[in-house]
Amino acid sequence: MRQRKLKLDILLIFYYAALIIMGLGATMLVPAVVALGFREWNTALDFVIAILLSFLTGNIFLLFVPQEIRKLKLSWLHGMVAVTVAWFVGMIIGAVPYYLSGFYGSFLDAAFDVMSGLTTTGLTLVQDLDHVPYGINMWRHLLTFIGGQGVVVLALSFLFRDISGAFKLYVGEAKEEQILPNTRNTARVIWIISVIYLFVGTVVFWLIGMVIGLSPLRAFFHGLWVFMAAWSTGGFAPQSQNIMYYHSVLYELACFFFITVGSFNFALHYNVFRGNYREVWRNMEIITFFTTFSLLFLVVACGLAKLGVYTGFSEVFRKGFFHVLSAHTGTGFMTIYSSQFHGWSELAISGLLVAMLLGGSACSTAGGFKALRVGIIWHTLLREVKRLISPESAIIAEKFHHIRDVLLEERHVRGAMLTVLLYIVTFVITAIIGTACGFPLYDAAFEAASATANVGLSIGVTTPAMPAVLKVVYIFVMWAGRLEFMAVLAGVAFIFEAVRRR
Amino acid sequence: MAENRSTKRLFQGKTVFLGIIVELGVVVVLVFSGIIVSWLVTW
Repeated sequence: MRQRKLKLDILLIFYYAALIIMGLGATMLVPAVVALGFREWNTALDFVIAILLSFLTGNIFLLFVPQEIRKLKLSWLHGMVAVTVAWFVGMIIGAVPYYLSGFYGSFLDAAFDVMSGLTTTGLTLVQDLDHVPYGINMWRHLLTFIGGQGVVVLALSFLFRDISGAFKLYVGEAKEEQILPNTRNTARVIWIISVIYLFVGTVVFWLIGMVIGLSPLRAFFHGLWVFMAAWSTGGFAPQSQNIMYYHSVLYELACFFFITVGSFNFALHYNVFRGNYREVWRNMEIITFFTTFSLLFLVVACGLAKLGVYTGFSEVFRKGFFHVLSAHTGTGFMTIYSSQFHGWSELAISGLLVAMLLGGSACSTAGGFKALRVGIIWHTLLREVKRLISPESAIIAEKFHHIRDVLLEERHVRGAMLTVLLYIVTFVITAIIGTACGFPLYDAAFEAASATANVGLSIGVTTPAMPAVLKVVYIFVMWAGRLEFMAVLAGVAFIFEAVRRR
Repeated sequence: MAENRSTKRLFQGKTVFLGIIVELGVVVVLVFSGIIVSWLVTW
């Protein structure tokens, strides 16, 4: 009986994972078409191979799943583990065109870049990025764009019709807020908002690109890719110098806008786009983000001014503000070389490190603790202080505003504390592993924060020459951090349970 | 079907445009706060 239940669980998980994998495979048609358009025949062939592989894998999975099992209702365990399996297999299949392109030293490097893209981290192991074909660059940025919204959100929007328990798949991908009562419509709303901004952002970057001297075609693709990376708070860019390549204040200002709004909660975008403009100024996440950002920028600016790294006001603003915003929104765009971070004071680096860990809003494309959880912990602190100074018989109720007024309950506090604790534990372990691999503690901690919170800023640890074990660890923490641990922990628990039952 | 129709009518051009302007306003305030902080620490 228990064996049969286990088999049923596995088949159901593989069914949904197969659909998501085939959906991801279908998205490779976009870079394949771009490659054909630019007459990059080898690249196009690489994508055709990867598409066939994804459909073959998906269909092999489906072959073992009888029709009656496909109609079963998903449990929380199924949803969580299906997402974990889909992301892992998706990473392997997504890495095929990268590896075949010859721009990666090993398959592990290619898999690292796919996970970095899907999790919107932005750390990269690509070699000779400045000469990468258009098709491969399209895939890098499309992966980031899809990863930002969520692979499951994509599948729910366009692939699945009527599935019972869709919300469990949706939550498995760390998007716990349902904007509309129906999960499928919520997924569609997320895509509608993203496509609206995709149009606006591409046009803005395209125009700026032409103003700074790029050809119209090049300006268009750079605009499209930089927007995709900005909105998804991904941090990839088509050039090895990242945003520094453009040497443009206008480009940087546009980045300020799109990385900030990219880190906003989709529920907030939905309300604002529906005419509830006041929500922006009342929302606890925005207030928390503003507060922590301002304090951390003050710390970084003091650190930069103290050492005289940047002497003038404009340099402190342009370099300091850009990187704190890039860190706090979890983007990872850079306008300096990685090695230049070593010239920043420890105070400035500490500020950046904390900004990376804090991250953007919940139910957004950003990673990290999330402003919602930081706000909840702050309100909990306030509640406890009020309790201390009030008579023992007093009932203390603390409220916060997030889309609506919400009474602070123990479940909010428990959820926020648990996730923040898991982030901190993962960050500390990753930093220790980095140190064990021979990197200075400060560098290892910086890179660990960047990988765990899906940021992508690098102090120089992430290179193709880094130890393979560290690449594997970073892949795991990027994956776990993006899915906010619970889905990955459910996957691990499921494997243990399966072994135990045998 | 009814839900699909309602999804299509979720947003109107005017409110979306104003929404983007409002969100731009947030970023402008953020940038100005950054300018003030930069000016203060280098002063």
